[in-house]
Amino acid sequence: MLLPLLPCLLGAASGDDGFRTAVTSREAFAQPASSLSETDRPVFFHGRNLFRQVWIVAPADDDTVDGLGPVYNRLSCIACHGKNGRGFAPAGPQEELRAMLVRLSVPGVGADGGPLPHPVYGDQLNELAIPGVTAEGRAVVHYDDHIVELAGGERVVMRRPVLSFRGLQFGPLGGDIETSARIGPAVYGLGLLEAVPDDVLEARARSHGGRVNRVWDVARGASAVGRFGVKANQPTLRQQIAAAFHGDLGITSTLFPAENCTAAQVACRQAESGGAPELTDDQLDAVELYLQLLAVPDRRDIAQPDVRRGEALFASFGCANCHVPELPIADHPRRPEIRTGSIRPYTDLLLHDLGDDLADGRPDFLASGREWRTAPLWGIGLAEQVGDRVGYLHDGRARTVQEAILWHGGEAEPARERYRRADPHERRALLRFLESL
Amino acid sequence: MGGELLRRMSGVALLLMTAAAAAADKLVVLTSYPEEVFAKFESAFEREHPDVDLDVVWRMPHDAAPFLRDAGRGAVDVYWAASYRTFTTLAAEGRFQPLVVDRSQVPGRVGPFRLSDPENRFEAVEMAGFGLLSAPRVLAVRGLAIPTEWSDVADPRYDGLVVLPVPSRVGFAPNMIDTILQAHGWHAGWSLVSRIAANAKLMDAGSMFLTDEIAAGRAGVALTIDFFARSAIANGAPFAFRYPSTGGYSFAHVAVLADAPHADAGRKFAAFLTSSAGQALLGDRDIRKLSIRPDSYGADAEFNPFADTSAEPLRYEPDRGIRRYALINALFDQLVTQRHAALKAAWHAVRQAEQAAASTGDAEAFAAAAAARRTLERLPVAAADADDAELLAVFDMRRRDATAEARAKAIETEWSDFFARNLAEATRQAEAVRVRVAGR
Ligand code: HEC
Ligand code: HEC
Repeated sequence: MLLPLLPCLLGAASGDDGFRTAVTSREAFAQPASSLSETDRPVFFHGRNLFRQVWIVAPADDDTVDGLGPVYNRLSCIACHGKNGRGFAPAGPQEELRAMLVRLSVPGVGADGGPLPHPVYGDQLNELAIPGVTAEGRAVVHYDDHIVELAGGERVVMRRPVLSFRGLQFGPLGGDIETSARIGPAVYGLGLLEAVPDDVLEARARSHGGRVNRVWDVARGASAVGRFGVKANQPTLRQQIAAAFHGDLGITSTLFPAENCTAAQVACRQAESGGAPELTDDQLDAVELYLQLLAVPDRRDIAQPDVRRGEALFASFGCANCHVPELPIADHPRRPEIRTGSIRPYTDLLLHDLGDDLADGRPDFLASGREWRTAPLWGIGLAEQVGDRVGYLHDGRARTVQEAILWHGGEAEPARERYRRADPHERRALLRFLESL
Repeated sequence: MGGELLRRMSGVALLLMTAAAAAADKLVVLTSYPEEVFAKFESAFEREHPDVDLDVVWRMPHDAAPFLRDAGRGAVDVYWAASYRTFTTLAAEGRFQPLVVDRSQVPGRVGPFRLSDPENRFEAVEMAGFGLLSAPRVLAVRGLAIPTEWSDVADPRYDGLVVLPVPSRVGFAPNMIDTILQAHGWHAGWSLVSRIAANAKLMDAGSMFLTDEIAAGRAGVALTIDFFARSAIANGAPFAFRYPSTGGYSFAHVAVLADAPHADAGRKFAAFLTSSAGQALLGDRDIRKLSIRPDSYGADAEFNPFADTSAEPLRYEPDRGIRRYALINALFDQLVTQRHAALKAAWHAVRQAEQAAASTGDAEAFAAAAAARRTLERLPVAAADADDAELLAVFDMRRRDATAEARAKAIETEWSDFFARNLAEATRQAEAVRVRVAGR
């Protein structure tokens, strides 16, 4: 009877103590927090299976996992969050979007204060549809290359994505269309990010710059601090997940009960439903718990001199102003595994203007077309080991971490310039530090 | 999200509607492969055939035939899955069109094992073998070697360390259990299964995978299908996998539907799957299936089914298997799943009796212990009845036919009484041996 006690003891650990994993294999992002309780264990694995589930067109014999579409982007969550890691951008116009989606809107503000969806295509291009229903069309990514030169003569080829569309089934998108191509971010450690108190973010924004996004909390019917999504455009993990089921897979839930068909999409509106809603609350609970309790990889090689030097440069270049190494967390209201303490996510969860080069020109609640949420950097050093193909930045344009740094502009321009002008040894040390995360 | 709002704007929406743009050649593939498998084939196929837009429709194997007969009729081009049974059923219904296959490259068999349809209506695209996944570190703690044969894990030293999937609940397991039964024979096969079960923790269709149990150190060895094991190993798990000499294969197929709207594209896809390029994808660390092309195996291949040198070539009749899975599953549930604790206790008692008898050399004790074991190994279904068409039909039809279900239930009750009685009897006989030996 000793065994069942053990997880409870571990559960008393604070901050990310019970949330670190030493696994560095390709399963590094799929490990349960060691504080996972025996009661939560089956729910965690149920959530994992739903995250990996390939969803089915209704009606089906497996009525617990049907209801895909009518229009959708991919058949499963894991398609865009491969091995729970990040997605990637297509290599060029000849390749489909496999781990990426394109958000759409027209100028104005939507009913909930967010982007105003395109009247026909909605707020996201759904590239696929179930048999008998017309998909919306395909997005195509071309690249324009340019070269950036670093101190010491190293030249880096940077590719700027240019988006276009083909096979649009409901007519052209129109001249005022706003688009935002995004790859799926990694999904570990999110329960910890959820536990950073709102007032910590607000205080940080006042003292160090950056902005808190304020978004619509559907469950509470109120405005709330945004923290998930690449523009901090979702308030809670639960809503982010339900929105993904709805927008990316076409699966309805109690949070988003209507199918994602617009008025013009007749066949879409007439298609058979997989239940009302298609995703049960129990299933939503399970996916939420799963993503809340995924462990974060432990750092590696921290004692190595170049890693330590890189860490110092990360601070002196000003990277740490936005990629804040340490944030406090409070007890999670629903997850006893998450206790007051501190975490090391290398983000402030705030919006920053990263300049014209990275801008998508598509505002999202308070976030402007130039603003993005500081990407958490924990675990980034394992990204390429875990994923077959990975991209960096919101749209995966950067093929390497170095390219990602070189795309920083706006508020981050001084930091980027310090990096670009640093001597090659220093740059290597900084990259070594990022690899150790 | 903006659904409500959009609904109110239908006027604008209709104005913007235009004729559909000319579609590239489309292709609809019905499959039951997981995302990590089909996505790799999808990208590679689209790279080779940029003119074809491939859509994947997903169904569980048991739900594919109903779908193709009904909602999917005339909408699907290709069926691609690991479900021999579904392929044979649909082929018999005349739903496939014949494929042209180059038999010099794609033999459609491994040794005596036929993989593909003799009438070329469906073609094998990959194989997977059954075997033993182990965690050498966990076994080393008990001083145990990596097991290589099914019988190794029937050894009492593996007690508590084994994971055994329940065939009525876990997709690949009926084929695996039947592989053991066909290779070892009906009686000896069930005895082996029963002894392994006595050492095992049972795994049903819950959310945990066999590999989770092993990875968490909760078990040391699992009976499984190779790709779970080999892909976990390729992804960095500290496991080992062995193919026993009486292992067997399960295989997957592809077929082009007779009423395929894009039959040309469908044939391209089928040809791609069996081509060298398609088969090379099977080696991907997230897939790890075995190629059906002998020329895919280099000299350094980890395992080459075409070079199987065992003296006893694999004897397995897949058609016999699909006829009797339902019966085997039901029998397994009555012998193992429904009375796991009692089964473990009975084997424990019999093994102790055998040891006690061996320690004394008492011939009568020996004979009594052997009798106890025979009682425990008794089966309510004779070997011949296991291929009896009428009996098999009862179990095979039970999900679809109320009379069959009632009959199956009644038979299961008889089996249940049979096993309960014999387990109790064997335990009593074993106890008697121990008492006799202790009293000497
Ligand atoms: C078509 C690709 C795609 C699919 C499929 C997909 N996602 Fe995502 N996911 C994304 C993108 C892109 C983002 C960033 C969204 C944004 O900022 O608007 C994202 C963001 C997320 C986030 C927030 C991560 C963070 O750091 O804030 C979570 C959680 C998430 N997705 C869960 C899911 C779940 C659960 C599913 C399945 C129901 C799913 N995703 C399916 C592409 C995808
Ligand atoms: C002004 C705030 C700010 C500063 C300073 C800053 N960053 Fe960032 N960083 C961001 C934001 C915001 C993003 C997300 C941009 C996007 O998704 O397009 C980001 C993204 C990244 C990424 C890509 C992460 C991913 O998951 O793809 C890396 C790597 C990175 N930053 C490293 C650095 C380094 C190294 C420095 C210092 C040289 C630095 N950043 C300085 C705000 C900042």
